[in-house]
Amino acid sequence: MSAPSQKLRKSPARVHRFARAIFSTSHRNIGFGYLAISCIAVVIGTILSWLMRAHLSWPNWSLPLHGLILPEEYLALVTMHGTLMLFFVLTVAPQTGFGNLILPGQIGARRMAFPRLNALGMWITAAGLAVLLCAFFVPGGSPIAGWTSYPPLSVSALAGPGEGAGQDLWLASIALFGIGGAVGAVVMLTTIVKLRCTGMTWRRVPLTVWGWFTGALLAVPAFSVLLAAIVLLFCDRHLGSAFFIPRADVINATLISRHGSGSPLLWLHLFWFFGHPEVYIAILPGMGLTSMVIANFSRRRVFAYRLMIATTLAIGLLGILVWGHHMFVAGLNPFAGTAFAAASLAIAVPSTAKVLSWLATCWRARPFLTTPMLFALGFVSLFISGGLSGIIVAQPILDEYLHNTFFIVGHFHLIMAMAAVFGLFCATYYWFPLLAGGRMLSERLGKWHFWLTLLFAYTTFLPMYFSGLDAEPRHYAQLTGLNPPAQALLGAHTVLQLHITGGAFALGLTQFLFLFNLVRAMRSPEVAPANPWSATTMEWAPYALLEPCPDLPTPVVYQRPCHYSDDGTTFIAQWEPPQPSNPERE
Amino acid sequence: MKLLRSGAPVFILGIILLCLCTQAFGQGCAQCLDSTRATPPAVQAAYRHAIYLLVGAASTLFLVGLYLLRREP
Amino acid sequence: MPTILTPPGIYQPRRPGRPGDLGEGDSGSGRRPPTDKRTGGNGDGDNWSDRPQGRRGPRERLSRARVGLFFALGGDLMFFIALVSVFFVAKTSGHFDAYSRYINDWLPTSIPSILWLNTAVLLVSSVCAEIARRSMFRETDLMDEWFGFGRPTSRRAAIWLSATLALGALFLAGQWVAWTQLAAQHVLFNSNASSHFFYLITVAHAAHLFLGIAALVSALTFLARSRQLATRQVAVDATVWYWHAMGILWIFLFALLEYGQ
Repeated sequence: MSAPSQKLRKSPARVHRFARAIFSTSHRNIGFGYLAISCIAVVIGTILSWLMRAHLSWPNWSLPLHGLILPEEYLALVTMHGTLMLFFVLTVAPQTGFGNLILPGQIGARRMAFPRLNALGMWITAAGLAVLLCAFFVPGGSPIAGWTSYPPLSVSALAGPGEGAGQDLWLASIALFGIGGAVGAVVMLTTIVKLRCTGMTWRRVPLTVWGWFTGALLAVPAFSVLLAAIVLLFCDRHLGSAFFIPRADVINATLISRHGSGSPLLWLHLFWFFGHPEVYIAILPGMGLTSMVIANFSRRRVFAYRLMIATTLAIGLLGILVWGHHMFVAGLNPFAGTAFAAASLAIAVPSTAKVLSWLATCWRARPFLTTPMLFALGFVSLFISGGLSGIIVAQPILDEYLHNTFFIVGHFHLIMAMAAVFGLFCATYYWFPLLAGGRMLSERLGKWHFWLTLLFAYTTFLPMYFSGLDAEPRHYAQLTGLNPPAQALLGAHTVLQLHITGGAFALGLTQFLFLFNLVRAMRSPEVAPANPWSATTMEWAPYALLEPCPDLPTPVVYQRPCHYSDDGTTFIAQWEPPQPSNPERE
Repeated sequence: MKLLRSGAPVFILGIILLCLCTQAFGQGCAQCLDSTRATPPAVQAAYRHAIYLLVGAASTLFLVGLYLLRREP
Repeated sequence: MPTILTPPGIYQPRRPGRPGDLGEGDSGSGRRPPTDKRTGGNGDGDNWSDRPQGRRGPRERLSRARVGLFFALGGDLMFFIALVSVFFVAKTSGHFDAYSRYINDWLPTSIPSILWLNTAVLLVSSVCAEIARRSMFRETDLMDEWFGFGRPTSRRAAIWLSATLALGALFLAGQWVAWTQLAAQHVLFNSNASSHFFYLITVAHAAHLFLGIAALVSALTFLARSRQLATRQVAVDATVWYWHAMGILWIFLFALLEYGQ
């Protein structure tokens, strides 16, 4: 008699708990939700990149259960890899993923502003991912127009396989992503402005929060313009308008005639107006975290803290002005190109200031080379190697040659795929105790993970500079069977291609070390002491990231972060009240 | 503010140097220059105005937002 | 809002052995109140030490909602600015004919005159909305409502919000009439470059206004159902500011369509 009634009592409670977890408005659940979206996207994106590399190195390789990869299928791989990685990994994880998890703690808030809106934003983003993944399964398959979706390829279903339903699903997915991203950005901005605790003045806010703030400030105009571009492209595709295609165009032997004269250049302007701030949203939180982590493990204050705040904002503002540098060979007016080039070169100034600050912070400091510190230093290294090539291609005359070569692919992979991802790894290792109930990831495995990932990152992407300089083109499904002069040029790089492919596989496989580390740590019962890294920022304060509760003490901030004693042995956390012996502090 | 005052001469020098390098203006391939010359001035002006509008609006939003928010305690 | 770029007194040099040691910062001349350096200053009497977040006053939630709305509207503005930029480029774009002449065949779409009426209706609705919003902040009525002596503010606001709702619905109906009038003259979305923009701009604005109407309905629901006065204030305030923004945006868009084609 008791057994059946016990069973009845259990099931509604389980369903109730499940429903509560799904519809939770707690910032931790939302943050983990965003990270789950990124994890799914990164796994699929990596597999797609492996398929791309395999096809480039062995064009006659037959994919099991599928057959030969056709050129248009290669383009579909390129499109989906770029879309998944850039939108759903590199924008979601650093900005909204870790932002939702850690931001409230760092500013002493108990929650994010507008919790239900925040949850809605997360679910809209998840819906965006789901819609995108559906594109694999519709007739025609995934779109082939690239993550940039240039017209006229993306305008007509006749333009290629996957350009019908697949492209529509892509547009819907990115529209949902844009709306979700804008919602998340509004929530984040309001939180940073309004929910800082007592004593948390703008000068005391950690640099990571400045990175999130600037990223969110960029996201608001950028995603809106993307949404406008998508609406216009949708009208071109289905309502017979001519925003992005000319009056008459022959697509796939069919004359497409519209009223009105558009231009693909318009799409490029609108898309890249979004696209450039988008990549800064991917990197800015990582830059902020790198400053704080390097300072913490060097036991030194950040060199030129206020300048770092200014450079973060400067990079954000300049990021709005430079979108034309993606269009130097698109038929842009060359004088406009000069203006964009000048602004792009100008971004080198605050970026260099940041690099110098990172280096100066740990110069001769004999830092503790823990795994988060190693990943932060790896971030600096990859930022330099990826960023310096940015200065090269910011000049139109050099970009004439290098555009759409693997030089560009190397540039953005080093700085986005690797530097921003190193920022994510740094964040995971650093904040793991806060996210996993006090557990820490193994330092030994972490160091192996770091060194192998760094090695294979450079192995994979640095040679792309060389093959790009030798004019290896992007988006080409195969590099064999070309005309003799081109073949002679590219033939010299056959071994390099295999090397890059090997590096890519090794890079992906190394991440199993990280997964193993994660799983092992989650299963271990060992709990680290509070604030294991002896950090000064507020997320490490006692009770910082617990659910809001009336009897928890209110967070109060008394000084700036990164107060370390000169010998590095003691530190003053932001939440420690001043002692009579040392009362005055910033 | 102090930062700005100390860095201002360098900043101004940079702007002057930028304006002196007119030789580097208008880099681009011959095809781009041709297609630009083939575009009527009205269209060129329209693109220019559209670029100014987008840049101006976004930068204004960014800067005004920053200013208003820095006024918050 | 006071202008505080740096909490005053925070970077003052140390004065040993003086009353400023524990952060009082009282210079003794009576010029300004003591600065509490422990928590970040006492700029303009904010007195943060005793006002932690959550207890900063009745305007805290309202201020938060307004900041969020400011950013959301900023993004929305960028959406319409993108459309307007494309409008300007498309207006001058053309094609090369068989004789290599550049032909720009932009034919302005003449605006149905009902749009003037719609504009007037929207402006009046904004006035009603503003009256509703201000009535939510009138102190004497608020005190009555706070103490439970009836609900004068909510009732007054509900009346004016309902008027706004009716006028907004009338605007949308008028837009629909304008579209049917144009369609009857065979000017559809894909008839012409300028008609693309006419329909796109008016439909986008109407969609936003529809969201505004949904917000008005929810504000009325809040007024009827919500138990907290602050919630009702925030709901009405946010809705009305959104409504005003849509109204101002419409004025610019209408001027563009009427005079800018």
